[in-house]
Amino acid sequence: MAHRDNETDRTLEAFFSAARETRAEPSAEFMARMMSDALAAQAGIKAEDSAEDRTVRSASTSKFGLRLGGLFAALGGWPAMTGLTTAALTGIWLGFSPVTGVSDTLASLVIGESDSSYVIDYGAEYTIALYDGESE
Amino acid sequence: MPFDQDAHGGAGALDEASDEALLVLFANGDAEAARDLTARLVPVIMAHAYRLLGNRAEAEDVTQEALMRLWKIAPDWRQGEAKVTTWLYRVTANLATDRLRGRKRSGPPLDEVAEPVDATPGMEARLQTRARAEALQGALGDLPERQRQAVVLRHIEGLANPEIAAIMEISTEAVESLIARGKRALSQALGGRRDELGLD
Repeated sequence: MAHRDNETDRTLEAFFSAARETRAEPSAEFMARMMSDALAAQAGIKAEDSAEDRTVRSASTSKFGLRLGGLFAALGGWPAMTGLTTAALTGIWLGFSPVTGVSDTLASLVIGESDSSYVIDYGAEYTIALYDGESE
Repeated sequence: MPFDQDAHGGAGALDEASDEALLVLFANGDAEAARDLTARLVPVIMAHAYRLLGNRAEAEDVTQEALMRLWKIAPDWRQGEAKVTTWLYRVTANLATDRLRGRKRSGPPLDEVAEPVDATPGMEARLQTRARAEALQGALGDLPERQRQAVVLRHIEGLANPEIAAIMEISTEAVESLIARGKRALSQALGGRRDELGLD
């Protein structure tokens, strides 16, 4: 039985070996067509990638636009923007314009008086004569 | 052969790269990887398709379709999950099965034109080899599809049983069983032609 199996395997191997030796090789024309297919498919992938990049960029821009739009709406829209702009401009104007038409007291609070009225000479009372341990 | 791996400028750095690595490079736009993979895979798949179909024109069609499918899925290929050849053998077998089912409806394809016989030394031996290969091809054509696929992958493509199991998506034991039954049928079909084919 084992002998017959070996015989069968040997016979079949002769056929398999013949099949391996006579492998169907692709023709040069077919290989050229396959190369061309591969490069065309690769170009298609690149084109798809570029299109996807454009879509992603466009989507990102839209998202940024949507975020700004949301902030604008949350602040109250155009009426609120008008009020905010007016307040900002007023602040700038107050900051740069000289103080006129206000009372001296108010002006002194705003811009201050001459330094002299606030200078106190503590020296006379607090000068300590360290020499001999006595006050002057 | 005009499209050997060396056909585009000698042994390049990519010659040693795995099919899977080349496929990633292919998806990243590397033209050399596209050429290397084509040169490497087309002969293998073409030969396999021919063994399953026994017809060159149909084998070319199936090879072209299988490779187009590979290029399409290249950007989504997940490294480490499967070998490129395992995937390709499976797709090729499925495409060949579709063809064979189509044949049952429309009849067999036209016979191929016989290659001219050259009269160089060793011609007799080559004719003998070709006659054996053709006899085997005829007998393979009569096997059930799954037996044929398993026998071809094991004894002609030289793959190990676990890889065949992965390709056919069955257990290794099932592969062994298919091969054993296939070989038994081949032996019966070819046994009567031993004398004729110079095997006694």
